[in-house]
Amino acid sequence: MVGVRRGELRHRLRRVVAAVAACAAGLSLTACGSGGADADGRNPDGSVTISMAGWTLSTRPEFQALASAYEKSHPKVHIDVKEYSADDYDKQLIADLSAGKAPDVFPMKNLKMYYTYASPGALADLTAVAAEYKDDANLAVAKDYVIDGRTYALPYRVDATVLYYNRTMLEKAGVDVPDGTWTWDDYLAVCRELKRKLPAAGYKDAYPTYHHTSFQAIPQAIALAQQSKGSGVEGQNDLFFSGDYSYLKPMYALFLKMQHEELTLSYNTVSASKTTYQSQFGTEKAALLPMGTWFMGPLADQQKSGEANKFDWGVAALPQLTSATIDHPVTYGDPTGFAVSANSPSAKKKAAEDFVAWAAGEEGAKVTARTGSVPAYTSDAALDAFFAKKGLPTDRQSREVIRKSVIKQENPVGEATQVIQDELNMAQSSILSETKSVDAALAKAENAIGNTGLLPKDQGK
Amino acid sequence: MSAVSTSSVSSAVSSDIPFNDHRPSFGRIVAMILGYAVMIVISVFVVLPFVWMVLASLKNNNEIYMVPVRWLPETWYFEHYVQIWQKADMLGWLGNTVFFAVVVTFLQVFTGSFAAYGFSKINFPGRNTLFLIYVATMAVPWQAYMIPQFKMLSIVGLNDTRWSIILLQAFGAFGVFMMKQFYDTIPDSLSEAARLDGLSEFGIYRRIILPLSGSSIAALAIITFTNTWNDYMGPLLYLRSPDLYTIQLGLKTFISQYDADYSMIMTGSVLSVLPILVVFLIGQRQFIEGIATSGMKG
Amino acid sequence: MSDNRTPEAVRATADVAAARDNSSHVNKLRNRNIRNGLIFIAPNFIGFFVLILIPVVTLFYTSFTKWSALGDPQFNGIWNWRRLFTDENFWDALVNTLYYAVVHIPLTLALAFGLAVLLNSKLKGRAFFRTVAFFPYITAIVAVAQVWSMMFDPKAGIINQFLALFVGADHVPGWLSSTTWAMPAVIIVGTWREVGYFMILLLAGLQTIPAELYEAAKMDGANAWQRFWHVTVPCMRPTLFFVTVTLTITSLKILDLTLVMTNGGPGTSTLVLAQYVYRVAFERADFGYASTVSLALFFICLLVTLVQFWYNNAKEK
Repeated sequence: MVGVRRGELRHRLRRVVAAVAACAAGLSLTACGSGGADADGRNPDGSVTISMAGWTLSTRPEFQALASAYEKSHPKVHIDVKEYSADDYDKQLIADLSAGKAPDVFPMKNLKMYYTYASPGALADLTAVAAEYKDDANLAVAKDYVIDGRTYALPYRVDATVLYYNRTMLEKAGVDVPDGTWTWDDYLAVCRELKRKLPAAGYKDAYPTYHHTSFQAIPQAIALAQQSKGSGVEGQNDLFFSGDYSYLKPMYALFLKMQHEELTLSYNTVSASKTTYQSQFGTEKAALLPMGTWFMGPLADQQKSGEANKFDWGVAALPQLTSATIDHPVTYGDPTGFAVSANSPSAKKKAAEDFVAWAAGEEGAKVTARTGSVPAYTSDAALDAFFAKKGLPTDRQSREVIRKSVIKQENPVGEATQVIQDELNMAQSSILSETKSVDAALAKAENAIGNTGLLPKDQGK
Repeated sequence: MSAVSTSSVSSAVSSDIPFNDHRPSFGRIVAMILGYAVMIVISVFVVLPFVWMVLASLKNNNEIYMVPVRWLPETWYFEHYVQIWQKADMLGWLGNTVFFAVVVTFLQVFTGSFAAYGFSKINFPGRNTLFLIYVATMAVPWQAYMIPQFKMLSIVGLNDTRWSIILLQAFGAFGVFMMKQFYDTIPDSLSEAARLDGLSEFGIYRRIILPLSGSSIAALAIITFTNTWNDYMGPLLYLRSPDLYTIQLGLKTFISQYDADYSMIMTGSVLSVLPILVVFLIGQRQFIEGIATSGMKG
Repeated sequence: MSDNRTPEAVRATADVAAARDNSSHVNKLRNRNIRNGLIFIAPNFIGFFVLILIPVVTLFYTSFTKWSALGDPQFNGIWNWRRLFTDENFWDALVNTLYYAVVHIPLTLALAFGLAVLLNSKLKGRAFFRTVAFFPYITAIVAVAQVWSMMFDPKAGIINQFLALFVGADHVPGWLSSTTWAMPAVIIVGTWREVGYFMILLLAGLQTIPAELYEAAKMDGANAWQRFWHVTVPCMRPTLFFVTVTLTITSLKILDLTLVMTNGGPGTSTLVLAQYVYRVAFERADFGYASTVSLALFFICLLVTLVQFWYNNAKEK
């Protein structure tokens, strides 16, 4: 009897297995991809197909535009752009690189995780490719990608943080628009003046400015950039990896003062309401806004579509610590770059490297600029392409600020970068929510960072 | 609902809750009205975030996260519900999500209840240890082992295929644990009697246990369906081809590097609740029927 | 399957009967149980073993390594485990997690059970209320966080405007902007969100209770309370056990809510262990240490679960 029963069960199981197998056959059809390429990754007809990661492909043309433009001038190469998440890109990339499944070309969204990606040999060495731009002042940000003399990525766009202002609001209130010479003291004085004058000008529930403190970079990266010595990465690295974060104190004092005086929305309101800076500035709830140049294109688009109010605006240099730096105002911004997978077969790798170098240069810059992003390569022709977009400010200052500014890194590159940023992020939350004093919050962060043993001084470097 | 509306006032007394024992009197009717009033107020409170979501889907982006808060849109953008089908591959996302949710729910319910029968009704050595191992894995946060798991599935080439999501979700310990506990409420005497009657184990499972577990299977199905439907991290990690995207993953494509199309996200979120509601309503009919036929009549 | 009285089946009856008094047949029965048990468990277990158990077991190795998820893990001994003891964030997160669990578990259990019993009665409109109760669980979590944040707003929020009537406007809590009140706020939202979910599970359990038991109890003259305590509660023990264990584990592993509502803040006042694991892994790319923290969480869960299992077994006997 056991045999019969077992037979019956087996019969049933077999039917289930058959059903699942049929399903599987149907399912795995989607798994096929670049069939037919040889060991070097070359297609039978001699062309090369490389894959590339990008995000928001349907709404933002950035990646597809670069790929299409490159394909046009390089007919032997086909670029297959794959959709990644803009929001959680790094999680996807970690998984991909971990399993050796990364596309041939992929963006480095910022510098925060660059060291992590570059250090275990997942990224191809682009030092030789980067040599092309070594003495090119138009691509100064390329130096941000150097680790111990070697380069693993090249930038194609970079966003400096600047001061946006609503010219319409300021003029109605009778306040001078920023002229690019402001220090933080001037900024504070203007905000106080606006606080008095805005209601009379008809802006009842508007604030003088808006500090988007959900970004820890505001104010932390501002403080780091403006307090560190020199214009290069060395002074900044010394300060950031020192383990002593007292350089943040003056900026926090200013930010706390300003939220007390209600010159900006408080941190608690920002984090509870999940307010967006697009909403605050775009609907004229704030007359000033320190923000990245990435907002210029979308703001113009929103004004066109009616999501943002129609008003006249411009950008000026970020306020400085002292007037000593107003000729070359110091600001921050990480480049966005492209890296190449170390695992790609030789022909694909070669094509990928060539694409990355092209995207970093003037040709790529023009394409990037036409999609509404500020290119990393800041030649006249590239900037002309950027400012050709309708709805962007046309005044001289707005255009010059990008070229005049000294753009320092938001995330200095090193092994401890991620830990430091995460700890300082928690400190920011304590400080600006006013649940801990600045000293206590920074002391806690310093202690926690020290405990990881990742700082250069703890590693005998 | 029909079962409810046809029941007369006198039969609206339940047998299993306290205070419901007496014939209606004036005081009881007042209490009942008051009780319903309280419940309706609570209900409003409970659906408030959903209402906000619906209203947000009818606003433009800058209005959603405005300070001070404004509940009603200035202009009503009903066209969002048309635009979302054009702006994105909403239909494809819905199709994929339905496929994943149905397959995973089927596998979870089928293998889960099968294994649960083994754990509950067959006394083999080591079953308690094995069961404890099952439950213990529920205690490990997935974020910690998702990368090793991803590497394993990638080695066999299952990343970026439909298989990855199915395999990822279908064999969790939750379903086994849940069904085992429900089977424990069914007296062992039933299965033993059937065994003495010569019914095979599979026969007992199918003819005795399964007919009694309608409501628990419905509950497991509702929960598995909802969880698979709303899962974001799994699809995020495993899926790269746009034609495999689920709705939760798809909605995130409205977020770009520096800004986001929140009104589309809200519109999509409202739409994505509707299929779950359908499943819930179908599932909970099992509950109503369950109460009528409950008992060992089978 | 209708031919269950085949000659084989008759013989099976004989087998079982014989097994009772023949010790050599005890082994046979045992073997058959092992075989049948494995057949039933196999379809799920194979998937479970390969897809979940193996990756989980690798954590025990990676917790002793330095690993950024890229390249191979580098063995670094007990460094990660030693770090746990001096890591202030870990202890903060542990305390917060226990705080959340200790309040959230009984609150959710009591409310969900009460609601399940109520909605299992022949209450008019119960289908409607059941659906409503499930709504918080299916509403997008960003919307949940948004609306609750508005309601918790210290000045303009409806909650404080209500409380101000009793304690005065100067004494209302700061909720999400206060280190003391942020966690209670998170617990309230967590409970609000999960009651419907556990209600469904408990409702399913209630429905497996045979109506005859209530009839019999009624015949014996038991009143509603007595029926509740002597029929409903004992019959619900396995379901209650399952719900308690699941609720305990999900509470100790709470993540998505704090991630969206407070991101652990202000400071670390709502940082919970699962979120710390997530941060260490993905924000700091330190998967070695993330494994260590998650195993610490695992051992805590296991300890609590074992106590629950032990208590449940003792009660059953």
